[in-house]
Amino acid sequence: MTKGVSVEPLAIAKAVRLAVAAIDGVVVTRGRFAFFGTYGPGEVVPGVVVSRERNQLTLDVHVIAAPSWSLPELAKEVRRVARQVVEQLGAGPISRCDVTIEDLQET
Amino acid sequence: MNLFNRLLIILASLIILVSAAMVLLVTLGAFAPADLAPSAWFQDRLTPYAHLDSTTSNWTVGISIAVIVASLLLLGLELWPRSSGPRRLVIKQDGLGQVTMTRDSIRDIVNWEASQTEGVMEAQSRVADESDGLRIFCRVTLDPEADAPEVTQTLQERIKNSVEHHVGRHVSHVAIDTQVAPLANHRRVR
Repeated sequence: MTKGVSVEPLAIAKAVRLAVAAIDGVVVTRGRFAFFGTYGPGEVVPGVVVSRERNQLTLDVHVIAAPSWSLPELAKEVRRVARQVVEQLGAGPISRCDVTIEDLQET
Repeated sequence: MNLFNRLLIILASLIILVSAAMVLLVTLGAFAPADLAPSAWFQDRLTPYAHLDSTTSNWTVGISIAVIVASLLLLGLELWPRSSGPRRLVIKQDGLGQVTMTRDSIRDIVNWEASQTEGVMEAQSRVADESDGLRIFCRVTLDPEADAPEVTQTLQERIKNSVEHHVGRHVSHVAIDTQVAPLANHRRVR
């Protein structure tokens, strides 16, 4: 796995989901009004949408946050964690990482 | 509700509407089943309604009218354009992408702050995203014993601080509309 393009979006989504869910006071969610996720053969990873355009990765992470979070700080942390995971996987550069806060509640 | 669901409901409403109208017209004797039915199968379904006794006929007419009204209402609701603005608010946009949150979540913050303020019994809020920042409109029901000017001022400050802290967006306006609860109603509701 030396080239980023060899990592499947599903694998990236799984890893990002795990890492983001490990942040204190954050739950990765499939979405409040619609289902968001990454689809693969016979499997779907809810809450993290990974797509690749011209070898550039785009991520969209949907979370529920604890009310103690300042949301810009939370978004920064989610992006940091996601970037770290993608770098560790060698999956190539992230061109965009959207964060959607679906709800605020005690997690 | 997504577009597919809306189309499905519109289609179902139309089918129910047309069916109920056909039953009504046949029951009233305005048309023969053969005039309305597009095929023999439909004609067979409609024919019994042309030979109902008066009591059953009255019931059929009443139920058909009720179904027609209900399906028209449903159709109207689904076709009516919804212009409440985007459901999500952009709280940050930079070279890395967007950070958004649901409008409902901001309302939840406002309502929670209101519920934590002494003297507030009930709150309902609305959030608008304007060029100068977020505008929050909050309608609260106050305890009759509360000092309304003091409570509303406290509430304005709490809402502004809380939303700015959580959302990271400037709150340009917090409007509080108060009403005093009837003396018998001392229940605290969110």
